[in-house]
Amino acid sequence: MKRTLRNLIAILVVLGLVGGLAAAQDYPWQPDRPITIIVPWSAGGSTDQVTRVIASELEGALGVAVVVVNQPGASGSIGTANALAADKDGYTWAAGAIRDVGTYVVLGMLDTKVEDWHPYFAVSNTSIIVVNPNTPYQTFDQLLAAFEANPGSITVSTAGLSSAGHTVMENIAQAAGLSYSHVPYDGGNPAVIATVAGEAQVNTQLAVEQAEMLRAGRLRPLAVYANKPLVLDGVGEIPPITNWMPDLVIPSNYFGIWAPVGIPDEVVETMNMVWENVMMDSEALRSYAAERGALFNPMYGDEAIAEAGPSISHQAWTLYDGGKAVISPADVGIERP
Amino acid sequence: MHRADLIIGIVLTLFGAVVVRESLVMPRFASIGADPVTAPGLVPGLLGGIIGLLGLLMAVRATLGLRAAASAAPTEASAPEDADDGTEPRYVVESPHAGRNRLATMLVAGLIFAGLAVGRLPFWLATFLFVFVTVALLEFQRYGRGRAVWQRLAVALVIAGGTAWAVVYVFESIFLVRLP
Amino acid sequence: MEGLGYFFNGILGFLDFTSLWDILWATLLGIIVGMLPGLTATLGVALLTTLTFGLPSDEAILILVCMYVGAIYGGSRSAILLNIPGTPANAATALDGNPLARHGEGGKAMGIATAGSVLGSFIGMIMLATIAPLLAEAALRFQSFEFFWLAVFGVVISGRLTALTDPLKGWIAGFLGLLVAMVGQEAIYSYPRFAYGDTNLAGGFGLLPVLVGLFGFAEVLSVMQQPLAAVIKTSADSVIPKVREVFRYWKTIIRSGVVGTLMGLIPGVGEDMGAWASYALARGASKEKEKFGKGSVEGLMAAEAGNNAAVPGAIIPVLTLAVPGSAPAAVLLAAMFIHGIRPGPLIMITNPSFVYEVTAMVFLASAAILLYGLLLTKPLLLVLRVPPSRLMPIILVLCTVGSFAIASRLFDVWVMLGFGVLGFILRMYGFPMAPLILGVVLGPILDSNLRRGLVLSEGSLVPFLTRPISLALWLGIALTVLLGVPPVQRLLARAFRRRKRDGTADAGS
Repeated sequence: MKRTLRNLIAILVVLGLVGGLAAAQDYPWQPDRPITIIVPWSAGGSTDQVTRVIASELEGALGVAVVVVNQPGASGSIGTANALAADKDGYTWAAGAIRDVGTYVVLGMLDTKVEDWHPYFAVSNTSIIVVNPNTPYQTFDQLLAAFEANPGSITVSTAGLSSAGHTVMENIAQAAGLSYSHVPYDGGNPAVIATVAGEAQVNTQLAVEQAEMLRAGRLRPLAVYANKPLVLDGVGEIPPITNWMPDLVIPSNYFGIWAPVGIPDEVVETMNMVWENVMMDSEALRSYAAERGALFNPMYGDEAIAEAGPSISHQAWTLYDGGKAVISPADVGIERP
Repeated sequence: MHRADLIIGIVLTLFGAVVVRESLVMPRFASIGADPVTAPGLVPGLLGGIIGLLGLLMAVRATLGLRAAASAAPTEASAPEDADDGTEPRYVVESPHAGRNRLATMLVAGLIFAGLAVGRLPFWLATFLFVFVTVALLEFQRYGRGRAVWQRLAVALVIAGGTAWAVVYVFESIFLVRLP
Repeated sequence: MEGLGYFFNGILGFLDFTSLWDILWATLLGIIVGMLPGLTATLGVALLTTLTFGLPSDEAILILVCMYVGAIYGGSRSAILLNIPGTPANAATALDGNPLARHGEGGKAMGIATAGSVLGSFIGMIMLATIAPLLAEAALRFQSFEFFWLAVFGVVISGRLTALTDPLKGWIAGFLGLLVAMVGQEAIYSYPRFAYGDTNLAGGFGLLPVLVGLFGFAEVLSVMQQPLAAVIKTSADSVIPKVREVFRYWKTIIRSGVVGTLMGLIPGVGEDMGAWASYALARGASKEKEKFGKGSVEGLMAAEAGNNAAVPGAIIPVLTLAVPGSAPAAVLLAAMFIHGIRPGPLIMITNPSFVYEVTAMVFLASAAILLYGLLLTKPLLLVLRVPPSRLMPIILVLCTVGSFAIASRLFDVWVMLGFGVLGFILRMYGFPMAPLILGVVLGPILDSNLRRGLVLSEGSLVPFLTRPISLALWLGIALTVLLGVPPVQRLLARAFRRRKRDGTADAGS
């Protein structure tokens, strides 16, 4: 009976008749129409997945529909620009990785900085250095030795230039003085599959994209790109890369949603309360993170902006040193880490 | 038809050449150690070249008058659009300009509506005005005489009102799309 | 046999009031979404993912599968009635479906399309249930080299099939489509090609605005130019296709179902190629080749069976590899993750009943399609009775909203207008639109796979030519092109006649 009732409500929501039926708590902001979150990447990707979990939690807390709109293109800068240009009424948000928002400016794509936004983080994502199980590399130092013995010929699949996987591999290569053959794909999932299929030998994409293949034994984990070991359900403990490369600087890669500065104060207050009371205890988000190999890390306000800083400056300078940035990070006030 | 093919062929050849040129000047990222086979201009350049060649082929074919030969080739059927075999619906007899007039009406009204009005006017208003004006104009062209002006306007009014209401309701309330 | 048990349990599990109600409304909503130009399966599934969060996982996935199946089927309605494919997957449907409708056989055409869709879904479903894990491994054999050839193959085949008298124009349209897809940031260096500093251009032309322009706006303009038909004769024939007529083409249905499923299986290719590949094969094998493109029942059935079979096909790698076979399947995958279902290579071990539950969902959605196909056809035929001068302005409004709705960008509306005018001009001179849109779909695949393949082979072209699947694909392309060139055709015809004569001569002596 309960199921039927819930179902009926869902249908009514679908028909748009009872947008605000579910009672919202006494938040200072009572939205009266659907809220839009722009995902500036295509549907089904890592940003899209986590954003839909966030959207469901927000829906429950605020009592209105939260619609996820995919606006892919230009490395996420188009969707982000649209969120920035929208009416500052709190009904339009953008999602993604905060370090992308902070580095569009050096790529010459969008003139914005992290201080232009109210960020609300949900998880931080890490990468795992994995290899195809048919390759001979059993440990990370064997792989390092192989990179040194065959410069420029071991294939590494990533989601393209300046993607999470490429940044990780580029950092390892710069720190250890290696060279490798970079094989770019159209997204994290295709890159992971290429390593599973054996087209590329190594993959450094996000753990959320690798988790299922790791569990199935189709990929062999060598090290997690972090300074603490990662425990993944069904895989076990993966040692941190700092075991072999202790000097590596590894900033966290935060994912979440944000709205431009200028939205009404009561919206900010409400979202702060939602984050404090709902997101910090969200079972849905916590189990999503645990299953997918992400770190449950809700955070907002000044703390979030402060945490975003290192990952942005790290990313900006990696892009600049790689010849990808058109504006020097120094010119827009991003210090070298 | 040959002349149209010739002109289109020449236009395509030139277009292909421009695309090839634009592709050649794209950066190749050699400075960051990129493999030359991954240059962004590679595929557009190839495509531009192919389009240019096919265009040239079309132009040459048109000059030599080979189009007819192509149609008459064995095992080939006639084009789908020539499929009128007597079962076509019957047509209202109308002046030869009628089609052109309707086309012009729709093209101009459509461009003004979607290109200019949407985004400046509220969507329901833009839709209402566009549908009302277009349907009314087409109604006048359709029935040269014999129908009262108020009848034609009433038809347009009903259709325009219905469309504006239904589109806004369906998209905003059911599909949760924010209309411009 | 264990699987069969799971399957029937799955169906029985959905036979309560709530589930049946879900199936009915979700499939109907799917058909509506599919029918409206610009609203596609991807958009529909994504929208419902958000709205079904709170529901139990099996119910939510059921709703999404119904939406997906319904939308791919729904697109055939507008393709047949208005010559505007509701989703890109229905472009091949319009080739034969619309001529049938114009000849007053709209009811029959929709009945045939329904039969094709349902039977295609069933075949895909059987393959999903029986050989899912096996087929998924086969998808892994498609690597960069094969994807490149597959993209070329798609454009060449559809260019040939949509311009039978003059394949040159079909190919030009196809390559123009590939070039359209080049605009905007490319996948490797994110370099904005042909953008000239414009942020909107750097994002590229969206597939849907281009589709809605080429088929929607351009169609509206074409209709305006044609003499207005008084009222299109609505057929008195039954909307229920004659069983004999359907089963006359049983070979075509089975072939299309299998090919559609296989195309759905290949990541990123999906329903569009499912329809095209089965249409091409059906024409090749048909005894009535000359009817194709002019209202062939067989062609219509092949196209619809092909794109609907691709739905279960695209779900196979979602379940067994966690890799979507098409864009709507990608959203479905995301939804499964959100609901705590973990598709992937382990699913047959961790959750073996789920694969069969999904199969049962596809089955029930197909059953709903059959129901709606029978109920909705008569009312939909009324669309043909509305004079175009009153219908077309409304269609243009829908095109505008549809192209805006996808990403809420005004730029997309302008893209729709621009491609509408371009499409109208190209059509006037005999260029088909379908290869152009397939080119836009396949362009990014061709681009990044060619360059990636060259990185992997260190600049060598040899693997492109010698790997087994690649070899088959490029030979197929070469054959298609050669057979499309008139001098070769004449030569072949002559050689064929001579051999026949020689043959009789030999027999005589």
